[in-house]
Amino acid sequence: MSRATPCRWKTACCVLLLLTPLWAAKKNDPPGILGPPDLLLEGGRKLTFERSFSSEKEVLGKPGFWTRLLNVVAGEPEYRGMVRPYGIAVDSQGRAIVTDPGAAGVHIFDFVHHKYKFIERKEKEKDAMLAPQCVALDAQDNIYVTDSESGKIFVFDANGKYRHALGSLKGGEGYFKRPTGIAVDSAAQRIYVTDTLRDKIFVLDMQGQVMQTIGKHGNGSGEFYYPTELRLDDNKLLVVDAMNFRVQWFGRNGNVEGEMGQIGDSVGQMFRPKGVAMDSEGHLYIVDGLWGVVQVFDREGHLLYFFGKKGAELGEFQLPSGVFIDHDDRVFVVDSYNRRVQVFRYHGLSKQVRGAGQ
Amino acid sequence: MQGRLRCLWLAGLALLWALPLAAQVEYGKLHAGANGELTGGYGGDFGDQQTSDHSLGFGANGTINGYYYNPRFISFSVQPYYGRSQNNSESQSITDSSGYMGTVNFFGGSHFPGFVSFNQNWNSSGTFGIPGEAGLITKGDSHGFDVGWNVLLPGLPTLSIGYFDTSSSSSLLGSDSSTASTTRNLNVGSSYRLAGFSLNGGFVHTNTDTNLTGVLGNGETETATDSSNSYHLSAIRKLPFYHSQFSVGASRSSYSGASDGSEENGTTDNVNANLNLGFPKLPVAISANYTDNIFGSFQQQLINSGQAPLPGLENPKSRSLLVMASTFYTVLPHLTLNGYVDHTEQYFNGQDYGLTQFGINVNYNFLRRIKGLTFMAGMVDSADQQGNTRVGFVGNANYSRTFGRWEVGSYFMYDQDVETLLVTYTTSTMNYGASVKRDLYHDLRWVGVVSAGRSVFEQQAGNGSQSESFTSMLMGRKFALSANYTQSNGTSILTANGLVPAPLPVSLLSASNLIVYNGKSYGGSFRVNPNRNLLINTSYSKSEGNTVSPLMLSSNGTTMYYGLAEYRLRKMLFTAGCTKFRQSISSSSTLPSVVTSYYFGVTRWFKGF
Repeated sequence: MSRATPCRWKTACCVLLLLTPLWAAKKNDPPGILGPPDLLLEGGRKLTFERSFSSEKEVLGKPGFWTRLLNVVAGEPEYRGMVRPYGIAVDSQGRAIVTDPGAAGVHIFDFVHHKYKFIERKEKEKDAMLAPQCVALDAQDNIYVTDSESGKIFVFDANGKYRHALGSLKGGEGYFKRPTGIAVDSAAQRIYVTDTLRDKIFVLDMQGQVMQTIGKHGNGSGEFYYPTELRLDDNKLLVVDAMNFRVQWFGRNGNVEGEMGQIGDSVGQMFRPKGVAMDSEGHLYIVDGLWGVVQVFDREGHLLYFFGKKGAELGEFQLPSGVFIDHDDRVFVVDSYNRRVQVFRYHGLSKQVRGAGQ
Repeated sequence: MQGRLRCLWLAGLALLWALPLAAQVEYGKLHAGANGELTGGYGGDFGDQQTSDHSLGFGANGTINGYYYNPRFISFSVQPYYGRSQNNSESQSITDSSGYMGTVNFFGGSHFPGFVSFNQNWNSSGTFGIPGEAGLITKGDSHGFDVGWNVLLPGLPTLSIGYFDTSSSSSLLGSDSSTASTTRNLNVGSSYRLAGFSLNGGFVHTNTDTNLTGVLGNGETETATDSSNSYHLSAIRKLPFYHSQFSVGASRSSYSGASDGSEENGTTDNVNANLNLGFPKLPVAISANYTDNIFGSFQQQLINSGQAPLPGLENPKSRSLLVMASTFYTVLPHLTLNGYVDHTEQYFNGQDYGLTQFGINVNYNFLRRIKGLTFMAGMVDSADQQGNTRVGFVGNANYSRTFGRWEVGSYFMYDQDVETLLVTYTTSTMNYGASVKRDLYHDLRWVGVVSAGRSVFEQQAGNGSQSESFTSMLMGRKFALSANYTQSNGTSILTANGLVPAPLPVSLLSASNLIVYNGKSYGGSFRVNPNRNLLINTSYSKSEGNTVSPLMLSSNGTTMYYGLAEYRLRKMLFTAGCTKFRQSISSSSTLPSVVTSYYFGVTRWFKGF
């Protein structure tokens, strides 16, 4: 509005002087990505650290010339990162699908094709997805997400496009009180959903009709006290029975076949069991959220080994939750409070060796 | 002096410059972080009273934060800015403004914490206040310096020392009126616990220099130099039953003010005592307050708030003793009674006055019975030497309720014949308002608000003030549209910050100090963000009014059109803004200020380290 006075030019020079060192400032190089050392196990087995990822940026490939030029001129874009990740599943294409109740959405990390997608429906008037908790996939890589707040199950296709919601009642309310764990049996066309507040597992058909319920409140065999995660593996339905501090497994007919775990604050015991998964050798991986470790048990419930400790360094966890093991025995652990997923690989015995041994 | 200031300025700058450099090379234990924005663009302005100009220019703002050794040892924060106006940034200034502000905290985790803060602003827009209205636009400079230090040794009396110095100068756009004021304040305080008593004491010295051209007053330049000293002591003792406590306090304040040949000075002594008895069903509060100079305490309040004492205020010998007692009783879960008795003995202007007020208030909460309604009603009876003098009423009511998609709320407050500083005058106030919200469709919502207020000193008609305002807003997820209208009138006095409502009955104030105002303002704004990267903001405002003083009649008007469009691309912001401004003040000898300015530019955010 008025012409610059000498005083203003003096200020301008001062601001420039102040900013000069900012441009020249040398950014500290990030520390080298050094994971935890390999965990050597008996029989030549080992567990190695592979990587950690936390945001869209880590998915993208090496930028081209024009992208780099744009990055210099306009700055890097704002990459979406995980806020409070909880559950995880990996599809047949190797894409990691991570639920994030903190961001009210689901992240899809495709490291093969260097693509990222974020699914959200929190602003939809009908069937809004508010707190996605756990995730499961069917044979076509369709994505099934439980929403613990709205009480529904959201179904998306492999590209992340919304298909429909299961358990959506007239008036907008959800059928489930607090759905958490979920597993999909494509062969039997069944969906298993844990309703934590009802202490039950609902067995649904693919259209969402309730076919059967499993369990009731209690601490006996086949009973639950706040069941949470589910995993369908090796024809077994693994259920984290959180406040009974154990994992139970059921056959496809709903009959209880076994259980393991006891409350305690020492190695081999459980205090806050979260995610559960099974590797190619049938070992059970159980995440303990409070201790920040993943404990590995054999089929008889004996502790084989554990990895991780409480912390923020690579190989350490703070409030870990979900765990998933893909067909290559890669172990994906959701490190919730550290806002990341850490990937390990279990190098077991080859099938031939296993076959010979047996 | 100029050379010394320049040296200090350069030394400070060199120090600031060195901080990031030092952090950059991780020198010692200095840690710092910095980020900022640089703007380059093309702007211009033109108007009736100035030559047009247009040029390429730049602007900047930044933040440097850091600490040495540990954030609790020494931490600092500096925010410089240059060339910022509402056309190119989030600044509210209609002119390109520059400046900096900074704070250094030291020894935060020790027994000797302290801080230094400073700020300087050039060419920033401000407001010359008019009660109940948007006010007139000013342009000016200001600077401030503030330092404080504490001694917090366990088992010993605490000590706190503070000093601040602020000064500002501004000119009223569209007039030849200007204002300058400087305030310096030194305060020392101490507290100590001894034998169950919490002891507090302190000293405050304030010095204010004011220079203002009273374009809305008598048209002459007024200069005032005021200072005040006050000492205070207090003791609080908790009593060993029912959370009761007893406190006593005493203070002495003296002030002196010289203004264009007249001189005001005085001393006020004050003693007070309070007793709170926390009986479970019938808590009682009793207090007594003695002041030996009623007018002096009023002048002291003005000085403490940064204003000059009013010259020409009659200052007769006066004293006042006020004794109050109150209690309340819960009759039913939703029904409480509050009763009180006040007795005042005052002497001023050679006469003794006595007044006894007693009253009772009934509070009833209807939240459950008539959804959303609460109210309180009470009565005040006053009696003096001549017997019963008046009966006043106090009351307030609130109502809020949701009917389907409608959400309504309203309030009403009424105070009649409430005692003021002087026993012979009481004040009555009334405020009421209502709001309506309606969910129209999906994310679309409409809000309407009406509010009004009126206050008046009794015993003399036409010396109060009143205001009314209406606001209507239509809000969606991606846009907001609003319109507003306000109207106000009343009697005021002129201060360095603008007009403020007359704090005393007009008969006690010199007529030359009084300015009657009457005005209205209205405007609207529209804000839309079609996507998360694009924002368009437009507004229009117009205010017009009159001020009348014994020597001057002025008709004032301000009109402003404003538009800003921003598009964000990663860390770049493309900005286009324009402002058209007109302000006229008829009592001034200058022509109205009419300026149109525009700007196009690009801003880039940087993170230094």
